[in-house]
Amino acid sequence: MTPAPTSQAQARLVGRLMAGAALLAAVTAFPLFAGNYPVKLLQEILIWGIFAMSLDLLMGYAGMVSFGHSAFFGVGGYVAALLLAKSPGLFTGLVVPAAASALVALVIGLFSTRVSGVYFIMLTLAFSQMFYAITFQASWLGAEDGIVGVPRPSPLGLDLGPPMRFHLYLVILVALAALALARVVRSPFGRVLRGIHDNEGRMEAVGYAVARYKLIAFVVAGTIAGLSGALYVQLVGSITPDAFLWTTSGEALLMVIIGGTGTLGGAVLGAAAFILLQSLVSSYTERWMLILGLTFILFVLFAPGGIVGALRGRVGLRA
Amino acid sequence: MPGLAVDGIHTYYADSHVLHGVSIDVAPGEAVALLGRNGAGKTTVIRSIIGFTPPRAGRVIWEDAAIEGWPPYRIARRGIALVPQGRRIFAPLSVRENLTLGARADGWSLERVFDLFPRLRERQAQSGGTLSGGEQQMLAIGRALLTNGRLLLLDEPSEGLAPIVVREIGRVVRGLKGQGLSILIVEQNYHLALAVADRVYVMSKGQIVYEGQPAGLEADEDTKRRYLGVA
Amino acid sequence: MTPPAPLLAIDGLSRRFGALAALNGVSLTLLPRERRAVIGPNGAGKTTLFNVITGQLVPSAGRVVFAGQSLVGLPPYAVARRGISRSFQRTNLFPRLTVIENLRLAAGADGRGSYNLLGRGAVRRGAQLARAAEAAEAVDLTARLGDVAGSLSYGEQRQLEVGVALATRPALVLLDEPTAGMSPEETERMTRMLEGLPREVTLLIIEHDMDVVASLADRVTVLHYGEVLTEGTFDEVKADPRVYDVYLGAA
Repeated sequence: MTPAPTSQAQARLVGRLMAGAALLAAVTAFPLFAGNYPVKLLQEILIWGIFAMSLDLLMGYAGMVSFGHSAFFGVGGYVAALLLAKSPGLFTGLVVPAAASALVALVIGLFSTRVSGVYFIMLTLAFSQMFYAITFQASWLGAEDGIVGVPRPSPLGLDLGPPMRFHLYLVILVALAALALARVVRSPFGRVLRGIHDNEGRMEAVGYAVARYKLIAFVVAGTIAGLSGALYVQLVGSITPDAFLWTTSGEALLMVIIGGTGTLGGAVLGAAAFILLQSLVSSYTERWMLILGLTFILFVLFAPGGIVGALRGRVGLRA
Repeated sequence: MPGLAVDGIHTYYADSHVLHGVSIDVAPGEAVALLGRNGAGKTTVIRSIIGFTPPRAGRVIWEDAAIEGWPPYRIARRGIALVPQGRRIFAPLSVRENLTLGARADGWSLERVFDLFPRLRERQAQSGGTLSGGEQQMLAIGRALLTNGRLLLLDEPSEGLAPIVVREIGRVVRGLKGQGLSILIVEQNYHLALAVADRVYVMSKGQIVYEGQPAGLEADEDTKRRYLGVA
Repeated sequence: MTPPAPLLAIDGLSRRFGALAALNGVSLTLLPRERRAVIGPNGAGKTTLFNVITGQLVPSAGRVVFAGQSLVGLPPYAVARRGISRSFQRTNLFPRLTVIENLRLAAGADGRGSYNLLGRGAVRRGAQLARAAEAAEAVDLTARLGDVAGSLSYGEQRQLEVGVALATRPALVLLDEPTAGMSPEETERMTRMLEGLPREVTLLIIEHDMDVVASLADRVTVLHYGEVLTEGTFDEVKADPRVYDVYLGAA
């Protein structure tokens, strides 16, 4: 129950909105003052950011640790790749891939949400690796080489060739997805999810059909993840079975944890940390994975709340 | 001074004050029963002695050492053996493995325990989880005996057991008395406790409300009705 | 004058675990507004009875009829929606949430509007909040609404435990050892709190503290080894020699 906002709380809110607007402006204007490579890094951060954010919805809010989130990333990516080659539009590039991911999430979810804990992890992992195996073998999907030469969509007839235009398109979609997730988390549904995370048994005992809520959360997360996969294939123009590989799920997990589980925004910070670290360190050494692993261990040991947790502690806000 | 002396302990569960100045003695070779209804605090006394819920005030003296606050494994090594409420045998392990897990030398041996509980010898390769309630209780007692302790703590051994099995357990515990063991048995089952005990305490709402000889309690209808019966 | 229809009618209820009959032909009838205590020594089957009523366990035989409809086979959330609520012997709250948030979650459990993914639920918020505040008042926790449940004292947590069960506005509440682990002062407070609950809420209470039973219960059912030994007022049960024997352990 939030009491009427005090002037201090209002000032904080205004401050946050202004900071958010400034960040959005900076991100949007980035291609104007940065080179191609940094822009590409930023765009990857945005895409992986919402991929990780969708996983955070599951992990941080519903308490469902999934190790098979790559399934939706891959489905979204592959469906977009296949359809965009035929007819590059928003429908084929975004809507159908998202719907396909939603459907896949529904099916996987029907099985997986019946179990929890280690079994949930194993089932989700298994399903995602099934997709990996299928795409790796399927010659009509390009087998291990995947699909290349995927054109960008032409929303409303606009050509997304010019970098700034594509960048705007990407920023808008990512912002919408992030806002949607933020809205879900604050909604009555989101509150129920948090209750399930805290005490599933009691939720059931007071009258919530817990399995139904978990399934819906799973489908929502899967749909956004599918969207991120579709955007990814539009960014790089190709997709391989590696999109389904367990490492993709694992990287998203790392991003969520490093950024701060259960914070949503942390997922983007985690994605940024991961991608920037990868880029920076791999220019010096091949062993960037080692550095990443050490970073992860340090976070878990000393900053279990992730980046967001550490920042909040510093600024003194309630965690 | 040998034996157990629990002296004015106050034990809490989080901030809930559950034991209010409880004092109990068990002399060497003596069998003492602690009676009372559910919720009286009997199991909390056991937990306070063995170190699972150390008392916040008061002392637990065992063979001249003040053991309150010690970690349970250290208390166990000092010669106190617990037969926990609900048996808590290791279900995936075999009967034999359950028994030998905490076994220490001198005195009780595997063979001697099997002599006491022939049914366990028959089932020694079976996994603990497949035993009946009564057999598990015997297993739990055997396991405790094999640690060769000098004080045996029995926490509600009759719980969940059919009357005929309860009588069997009573017979076994009576038989243990002459063997140099001190016994503290916590029970809801009045008849079992009296069949075994040299002295009895009665607890209610975290306090001792009666102390005396079994015959004395048997004759005291008021106390029995009020603290062991319904009211 | 026709007798009032029973709120809860349990008939010949049995529940087996392998060879063990945890419940064996239990029959029990609760009238609306009644306050019934279920007592019995360990292993009597009291918690199993609760688990069968609330749908956590399926009975091996027998019927459970609530307000004229059978509950058998319904999952726990469906039983709750029919109007039966339960508190647990081991405190079972949402530790990271505040008292009012705990109660609001329970108050919103009828499902309507909780599938709202994108809204703020302002319309139903008022009703939910009112119910939550009512429940808080009924369990004397109005002063602690903004405090995190995990920071409450043990006794206050047990109060909240009952509060969460009440917040769903049930017709029947099953209280499983509400005073478990409480000091005498806390027990006294809890007893007075329970006495003050609105009579429209029918109570079925498992208890070991006989003073609490004496204060609260209209009638007492005594269970022993899964069967109903006897039933009556507290004084009748207290005077019954069979009950005395059963408690002292002579079977």
